[in-house]
Amino acid sequence: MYTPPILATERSIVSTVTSLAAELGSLGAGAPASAVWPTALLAIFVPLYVQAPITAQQIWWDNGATITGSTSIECAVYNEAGTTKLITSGVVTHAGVSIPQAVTITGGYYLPRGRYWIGLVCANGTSTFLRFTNAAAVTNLQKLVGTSEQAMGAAALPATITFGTAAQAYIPVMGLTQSTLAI
Amino acid sequence: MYAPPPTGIPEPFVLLTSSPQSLGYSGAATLQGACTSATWSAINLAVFFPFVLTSSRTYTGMIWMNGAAVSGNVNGAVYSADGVTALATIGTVAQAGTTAQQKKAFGTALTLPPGKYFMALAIDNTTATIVGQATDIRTLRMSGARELASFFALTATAAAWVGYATAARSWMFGLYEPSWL
Repeated sequence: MYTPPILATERSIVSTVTSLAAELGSLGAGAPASAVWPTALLAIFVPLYVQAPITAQQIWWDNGATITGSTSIECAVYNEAGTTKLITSGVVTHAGVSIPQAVTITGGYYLPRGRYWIGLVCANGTSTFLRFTNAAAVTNLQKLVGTSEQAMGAAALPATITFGTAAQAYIPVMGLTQSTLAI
Repeated sequence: MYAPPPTGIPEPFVLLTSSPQSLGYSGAATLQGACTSATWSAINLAVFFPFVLTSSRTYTGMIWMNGAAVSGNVNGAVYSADGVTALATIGTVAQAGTTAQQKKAFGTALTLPPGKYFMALAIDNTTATIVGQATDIRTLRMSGARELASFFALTATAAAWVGYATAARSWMFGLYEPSWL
């Protein structure tokens, strides 16, 4: 039986870490750390690069050391043009200190190799997430890796991204997993 | 003509010298050091870092990370793999903004088909600083980086390029796609 050559296989988890590892490492970003969300209702979009087709089973982000109140957040994946929201966690309550928080994607979602955006929005500027930031010699790390921002009127991500220059050196740790196992 | 489908990690929206499509994997493999500000190593020195594309991409311009002091002028360009053809250049740009990234658009956005290329950066003085990752020269040379003295203009026909030899730095610069960056 003919077996096609395996041209590439994507890892079980794709994330802002796997997408930007080489750049973040060389720029001295170091280990990600817990930090407050920079501005209430700010949406941050980070490139998500998928090198081989995947079926996403969960969308997740990594919570920081503090969660304040009953905070609404949403995490979502968009197509390269930012014109279609492909996967979303829905608006959920920020929960679980210093652990990843994941939402199951019912039935899974197939993503071919390509370039996507993964976004996160938080209702307040006091809850924390795990994020990469500048090293001493580097400012505006976010521009060197191509992140974007959009001010929102509510703690929900838009149907389409209105790309804007990113002012915050804040790159959340978030991504997709191909497994239904707890991350 | 048949073209096989692209494979591997897609090109980033900002393709830096440290991206996997350029010297990123070499840097990771050889444990390059901290990313710090350093003076440009020779007046009018041009450096050329290789990169590859598996898909056609359109680049708006070039971006680089200025160090703790700025001085004089910067030039940037993209070259064909043989170094003969300058495909686009940003032209002479006054270096501005310490410890901050600086960018300059090409006159016309540059569309590159899949293939091998070089991105080049040149500075006309040795007071100017650029952020770069400390490494060893041979790592850069064996990863395909090249240089040419007295070549600030980054004109065509740069066939006289020599192996990278002047600075133990992997300079932080690259190409960007998003116009809103």
